[in-house]
Amino acid sequence: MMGEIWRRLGFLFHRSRFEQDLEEEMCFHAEMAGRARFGNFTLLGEDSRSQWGFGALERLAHDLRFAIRMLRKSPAFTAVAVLSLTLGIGANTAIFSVINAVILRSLAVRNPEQLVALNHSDFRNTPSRSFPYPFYRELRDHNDIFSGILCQTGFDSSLSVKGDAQRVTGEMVSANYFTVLGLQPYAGRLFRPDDETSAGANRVVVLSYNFWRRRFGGDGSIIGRVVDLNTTPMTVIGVAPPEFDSLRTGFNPDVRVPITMQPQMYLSDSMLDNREDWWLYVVARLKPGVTRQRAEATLTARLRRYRKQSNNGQPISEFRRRMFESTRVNLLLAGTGLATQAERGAKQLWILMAVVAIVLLSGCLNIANLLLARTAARRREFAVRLSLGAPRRRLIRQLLTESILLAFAGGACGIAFAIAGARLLTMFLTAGQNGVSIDVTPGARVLAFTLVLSLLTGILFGVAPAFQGTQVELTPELKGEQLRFPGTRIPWRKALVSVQVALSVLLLIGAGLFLRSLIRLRTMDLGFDQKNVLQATVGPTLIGYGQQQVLTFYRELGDRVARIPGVLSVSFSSIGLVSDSDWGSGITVQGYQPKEDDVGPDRNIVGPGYFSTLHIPIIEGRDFTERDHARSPHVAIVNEIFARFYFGNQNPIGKLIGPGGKGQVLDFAIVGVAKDGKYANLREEPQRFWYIPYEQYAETQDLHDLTLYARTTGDPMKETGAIRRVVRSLDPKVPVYNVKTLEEQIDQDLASDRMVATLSSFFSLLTALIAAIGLYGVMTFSMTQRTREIGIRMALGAQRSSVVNSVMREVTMLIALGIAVGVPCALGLGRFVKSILFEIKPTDQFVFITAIVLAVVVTLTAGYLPARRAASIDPTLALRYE
Amino acid sequence: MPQSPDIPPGTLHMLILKTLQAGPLHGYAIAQRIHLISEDVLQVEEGSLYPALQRILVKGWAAAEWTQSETGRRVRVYKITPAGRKQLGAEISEFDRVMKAVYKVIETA
Repeated sequence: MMGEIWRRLGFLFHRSRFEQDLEEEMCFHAEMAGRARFGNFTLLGEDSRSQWGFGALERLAHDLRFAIRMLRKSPAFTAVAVLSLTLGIGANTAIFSVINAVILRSLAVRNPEQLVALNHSDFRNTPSRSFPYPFYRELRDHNDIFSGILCQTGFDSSLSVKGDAQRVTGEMVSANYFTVLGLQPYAGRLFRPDDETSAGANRVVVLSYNFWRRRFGGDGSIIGRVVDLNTTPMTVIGVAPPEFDSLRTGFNPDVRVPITMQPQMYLSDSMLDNREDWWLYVVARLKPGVTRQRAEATLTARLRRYRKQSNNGQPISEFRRRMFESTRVNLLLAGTGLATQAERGAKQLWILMAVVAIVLLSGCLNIANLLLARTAARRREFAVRLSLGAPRRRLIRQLLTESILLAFAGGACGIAFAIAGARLLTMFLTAGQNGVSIDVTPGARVLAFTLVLSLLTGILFGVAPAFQGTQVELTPELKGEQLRFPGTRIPWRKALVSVQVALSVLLLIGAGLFLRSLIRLRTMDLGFDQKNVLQATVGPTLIGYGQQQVLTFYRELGDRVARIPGVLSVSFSSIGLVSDSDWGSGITVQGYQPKEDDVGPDRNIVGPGYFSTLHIPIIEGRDFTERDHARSPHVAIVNEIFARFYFGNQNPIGKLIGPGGKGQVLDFAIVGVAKDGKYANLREEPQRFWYIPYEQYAETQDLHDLTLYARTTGDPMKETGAIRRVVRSLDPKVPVYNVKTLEEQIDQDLASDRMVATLSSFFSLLTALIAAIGLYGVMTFSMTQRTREIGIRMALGAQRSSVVNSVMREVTMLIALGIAVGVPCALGLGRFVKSILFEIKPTDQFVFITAIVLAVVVTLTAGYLPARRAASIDPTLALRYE
Repeated sequence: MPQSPDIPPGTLHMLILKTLQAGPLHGYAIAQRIHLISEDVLQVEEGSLYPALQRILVKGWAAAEWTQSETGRRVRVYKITPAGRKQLGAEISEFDRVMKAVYKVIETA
């Protein structure tokens, strides 16, 4: 077999010698047989040669050579087609590669398909992935369903080497984390079972590969050295493997520490022995042969038992009994990573995928249209080839080769376009999130996607022209008395145009909905004034300040920033506005018995002048002031909903409230009611909210980093330098991060909405343009066809306007047909986008009407141009035509 | 001149190889030899001879080389290879088996 391939290859490279040999041999034969020549020498030669060939492969090479020649002969057509395909396939590849990175790609761990994430819920139907550490420990030590089980959670901290502090993103993990995942150290060692003993005892840290390169320049001698994490000295023991980021998509922690270091990393009490602190993600590896159903049943029973035991023999209320009995554990496949914020755009990505698929489809229809016209022009060539004995399927194959070649050219350029596009998309998705980045380098899966997409595209737009174009009536064609274009073809092409109109109406409606939803989000009343506000998180706690020092620091910082000339006022808060984090709290209200299933209000701790700085109107009472300090009476401000919820029509000023939980002390007196607004994000429902001064909070609890808000006279970013200088003058080691204007912060919350609105607007206009071009092309073509007919009609006295009218009637028909198809499609597909729309129905009339009007205007214009040209035909010329 | 019958499909390779078994021959001589031995019944057309010879070369059942003929002409002669002999044996026994079966059908039916 090998010998045969070698001989064939030999033939390929010494083709001319073989031919000479054959010819000489046959001449000799003819001579001997006494004839001058024999039969059909060419045919014979071809038959003999074909014995040597690689058959299909060689024909393909031949088809390709011919295809390249044909495409080069019409560079304008080729350029237009390749450019449209580059855009179409490129956009599809870009979005697919992001989807692949965010949703589809498996983690770089051993047997990722065995990994499952634990998820629990009860009748309140609030699925959660967080579990208490004691429950994890119980499972780890006793179970027969998992071959390994790990837990993890994230944290932010400062890392300092010899006093040089820097903020890092970290992950606390169980000591078996790397073992369960089957990962090997890049350098040094990873955690061992004895790295998870007791709270605060395991002072070791593993660096991520990227952080090690970035911060320490890949210096191996860092292993064994001591760094300070949140002021706790920790020994660097190793570097994690580079190919693994984390279990959570897009989350790339810089450091990992044992879970037992939680008190030091959170700067709080130990949660390790608390049976009711639900704070850990649990991921496990199923034993081979154990089904998910069986594991879920086991885990559900275990969690119910755990919750009953946690009740400590106290009488169980009806509510709690129902909660326990409805507790369920579900296992989610975790092989492609756990959801994080990077995945909040997953739905948006699928929608965009559908949008660009439609753009590509519409583009394909246009190219198919162009090709139909082109093959029509090549009918004579086909007729000649068919009459010389070429089988029709050979011509079809030739034409398909041409279209697939075009598609591949578009696909190849598209990949380059996609790499840039995908980077842009991930910037939208990860805007403003710490430690989040997504690697979108196209891997094998993305390349395969592009390859298959190109192939399908080529077939899609090539198949109709190939079959239609090769249906040739030989005799008239060769005699030059073309029927030109049999009637069947034009309706075909017109149908394509109607489909294009339908697609563009669909996309215009979609884009309109997203745009309108974004405008709603951008223009709604947030309850505060986001203009001219700079925010910056300042973290003295990260470098080991004591509580008193922290308070002095913030007070001094506030005073000095307020003295900056461009700054009007300054305040602080613990939870940043629109930062997507909230602080749920229990609540005790004078004379109010809370219901057990009430989740309670959210709260924040803020500095003096918070409400006046952010322009949050105080409806009743007063703002916090400098006089509300630790030694003065405790005060609180609540929002309107809070006041209405707990006090109805009574005056809330002077009422006593307190944080829920243990003591249930009513130690804060309400001094003001603030206007309702948005807190964690823009889509949240209006909710109860209360504030207390951070100085009064700090009396009993540890303070975390506060975010400074400065209202400025002009562009807030101009004050960045001045504010940083103030912090440096107070203490150069204190990290300042998260510096941006409040408007930027809001924009980031809307990043994925903006991504969908911007891209879908762009693509919908593109599709409308494509449809217009398609319509223009077909109408122009059909006018050329009807030149003679129109000429006759005009010669017989038809008015210009009536010619225009008759053409426009047809155009209107095509457009109406497209709209008649597109609108129901949009109505039907509306429910898929409902969840990402804000305060707008997917059947919004304004959007539908605008989209239809836009589509009609664009396509009518495209149809009017050929109509006007047809009407200006000179009858005498037209009749001589052909 | 009566039309010479078609060579049964699939047997041409066998006939050529069998002819070559006696010694190297050029294309024309192969055709002549088959014609002679079959007592003028089998006529190998050039149209099938040369493609068949190329096929045999591809398969490695014979090798070709240019030599001088007795008359001093440059001719291309074909020489059977060991693989060709093996193929010939296989084809003959297969042909034999089929022919026996065919006869059996003709005689009984």
